[in-house]
Amino acid sequence: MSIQAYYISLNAASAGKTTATAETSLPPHQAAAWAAIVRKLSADKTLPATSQAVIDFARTLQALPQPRYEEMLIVIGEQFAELYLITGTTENHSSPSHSATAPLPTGVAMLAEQDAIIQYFRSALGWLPNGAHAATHVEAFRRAHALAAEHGLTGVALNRLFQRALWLYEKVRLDTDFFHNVAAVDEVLLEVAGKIFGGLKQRAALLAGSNDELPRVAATLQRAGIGRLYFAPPAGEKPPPGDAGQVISLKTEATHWPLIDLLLLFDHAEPHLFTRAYLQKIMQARQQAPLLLADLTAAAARDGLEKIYNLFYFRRRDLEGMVEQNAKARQQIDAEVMSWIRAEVQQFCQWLASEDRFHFGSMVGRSRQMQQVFELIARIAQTDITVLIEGESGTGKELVARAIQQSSRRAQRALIAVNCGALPENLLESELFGHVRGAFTGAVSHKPGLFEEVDGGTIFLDEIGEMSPALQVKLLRFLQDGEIKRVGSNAVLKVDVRVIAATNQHLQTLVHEGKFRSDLYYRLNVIGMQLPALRERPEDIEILTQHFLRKFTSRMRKSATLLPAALGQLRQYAWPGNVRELENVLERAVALTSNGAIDVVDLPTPLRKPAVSTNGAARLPLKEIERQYILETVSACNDNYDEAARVLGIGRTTLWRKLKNYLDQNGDFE
Amino acid sequence: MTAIRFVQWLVVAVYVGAWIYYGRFFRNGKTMEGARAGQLLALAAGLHFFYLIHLAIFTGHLPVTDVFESITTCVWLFGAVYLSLEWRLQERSLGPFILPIIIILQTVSNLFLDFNHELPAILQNVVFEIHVLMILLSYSAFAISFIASLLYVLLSRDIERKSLGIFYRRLPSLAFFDSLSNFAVNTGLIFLTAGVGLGIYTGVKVSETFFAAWDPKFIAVGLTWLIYSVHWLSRRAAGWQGKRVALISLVGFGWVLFSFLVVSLVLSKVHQFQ
Repeated sequence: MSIQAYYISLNAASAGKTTATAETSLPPHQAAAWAAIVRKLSADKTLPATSQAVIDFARTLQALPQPRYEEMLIVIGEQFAELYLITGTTENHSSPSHSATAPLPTGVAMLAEQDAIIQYFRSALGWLPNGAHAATHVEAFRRAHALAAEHGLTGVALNRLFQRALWLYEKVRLDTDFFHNVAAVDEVLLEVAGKIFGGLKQRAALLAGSNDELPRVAATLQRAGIGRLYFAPPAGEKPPPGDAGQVISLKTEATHWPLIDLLLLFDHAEPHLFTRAYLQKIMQARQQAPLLLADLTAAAARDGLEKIYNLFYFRRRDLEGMVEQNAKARQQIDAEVMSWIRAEVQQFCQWLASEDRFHFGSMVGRSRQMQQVFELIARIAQTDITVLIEGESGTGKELVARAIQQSSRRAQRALIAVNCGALPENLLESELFGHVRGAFTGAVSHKPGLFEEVDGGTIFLDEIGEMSPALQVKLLRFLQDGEIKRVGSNAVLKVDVRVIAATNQHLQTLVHEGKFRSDLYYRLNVIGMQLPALRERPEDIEILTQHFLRKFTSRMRKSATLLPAALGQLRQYAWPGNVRELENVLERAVALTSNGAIDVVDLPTPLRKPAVSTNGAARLPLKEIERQYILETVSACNDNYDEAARVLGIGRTTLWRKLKNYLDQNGDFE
Repeated sequence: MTAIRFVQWLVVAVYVGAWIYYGRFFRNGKTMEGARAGQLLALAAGLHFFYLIHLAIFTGHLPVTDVFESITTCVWLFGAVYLSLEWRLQERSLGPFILPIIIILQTVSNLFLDFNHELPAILQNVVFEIHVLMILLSYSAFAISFIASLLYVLLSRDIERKSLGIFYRRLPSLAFFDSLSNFAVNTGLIFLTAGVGLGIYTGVKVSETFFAAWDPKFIAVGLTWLIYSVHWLSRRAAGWQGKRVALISLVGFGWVLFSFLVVSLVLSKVHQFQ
């Protein structure tokens, strides 16, 4: 698996300012497409606002030939866009030789692997390439992730990265002054005012004189929510545009002024404002309450002002000095945050290298199908949504239910599994919903049902297809209103239970046949999850085998390895009993092996033969065996007829003719 | 007996633990350490309350009849008042400065508290107990004002020096400490006035020569009342703000500590009615 980050500047001015090096390049067949995409991105000024453009962009990228991008995140910042692309999540990526490459389009830089992950975390913290920390970028980043997740562009790797990034953001926010951003004179001034007055809502500021800086300082004060703003521009000049404040004349005596808490002096301010005598008068007028006096002119300091009681006097030089002190503190904080990022990257790389990412709860799987299942579990677990799991026997339906419960907010509460096929109708009803005394013969006492017992928890209804129609109605009522009634009672009980249902039949067929209520089916199937059969995902056999071998060798205190021949046999087998069968086969093999090496002879009989399974003693006509074998092969090849024909050693047309025959005979392949 | 000794030192130990966390929080600003500090202080206050109840059951009266009992009750009140302020204002920066006062006073009380001291019958009186509680509450308020004023002075020094020192970085604002100190003094003054009033009432009932005796403690409390009245007046009538009033509060609490410990112990015989 590999991860890349592309950094695309969206305006010509910042084109040169990238932290990345531009030496890496693209596969040649992508270069033209990329150039077009980048042109479009930099031209489209509406981009940060429209999510449709971003998604279109992602689809264009997905349509490109090798390498295939499995996960994708597109962050649109104010001046730049970032792309995070992940290739080869599920297989060990053997990249097509990149010996022939084309250069990246101008304005694009690329980072690969660790550097890309570092850039990911920096971006998630709003740490811009110019060193600033922008809260707006954090928002943009999160929006981008939500958008990508919504459109199915993210996967296990990006989701994991995002979780870590959220955690890191909290740590940085709570434990450091990283987001405390004081990089300019007006920001320091604001901070000092905050240290003196607390909130600025009740305070008034007078900005006397004027220069280029004044509008920005006024805007900063307004953003901070200052109560009132007064201007005293030099004679003949106008105050800054906008309805920001009110102009007052300084000709009048200070006692006639409104109450001023911040007095900011700019160039050309009336000179008498700077004199000690005049300031003392102002102080008297405000009963010696604290006053912040900031001299933002370039002139030298005025003497004697520091000595006035409760007058906090700041010259431009003082404020600049504080900005500098801040920058020094910032360097330390940045270094610390960077070391945390590096630790995160280290951890992520370890996770990538380990097999942990193929584990979910007690399930294992590296195939794309299983990764998608894990993904779906992670996404729905936190909700209380009803889930219907469909899958053949032995594919791990109950494990999925447990994984959902374990990662949900009901993890501390019970999970009860009920097999609806194992109990007769009446017994199942009183088991699930409870009964009152005398409800039926033998009901000698009140008994709460499992729904009551598991209140606040999760109930797993296996073999839901076997449930009787009467009971289906009761279940539907619960799913709609959260209400149950004990058998023989009219009292309605409210319970809070999450339902996870499973079936190994095709429920929709049962609905068509009228054996299963359609309204219940749609109520259950809010989230439908299809567990793939083991034969549909042969790439999982090896990792499952390793997993079970570890499990049984440690349980039986034996050491055992699997010989390649035996593994080959396992891969060929059709596994009608799916993972459970594989587990049993390996348990048996570990138990039987005497020399620690499991060979073909240690496997049960059906596995020792070539892959045609004839299912028992019945002797079949040759034609039937051919039919079964062909159908199995086709399904093992994921319905890819070319591949199946190649494996079978027959022509594509021959295969097609045979399949057509089977279809004509039965109306169905089976 | 040993159990109660154990609990009283355990209380000090937890206070010390809370102080360590407050200090670390003040230095590095890590929110989690601040939260831990607050929890530890709450735990200490809970334990302390448990200790006071035991003390009351053991001695058979509220722990306010001699100076060391009063100190530990006062410390608990002080901690509780501070904790409620901390929760109300969501501001933890006073903690590292308040806890040393708590720890020192509680240690003094632990060292010298005599569980079996003779209790004059005239002190077994509800009005008397309320009188002492009122005075102790007012002292707790004055202590809060003292810390707030101290931090006011330290913060304004950092601002005047234009340096981003630790007080500048960690403390909220001058206005915050000014109004907190003001609020604490006003509250304290109300309690003190009520407490003194009840005291005079009890005193007159107990001895007819009450005013003739010139009880040193009475004089000490009177002076305390005078200092804080000046504080109140200076704001109310002269509109003073900032460092000057902060200094009055610092002096006032200095006098409270002095009178509480020295006057009660060394000089006062009459007030203990012996």
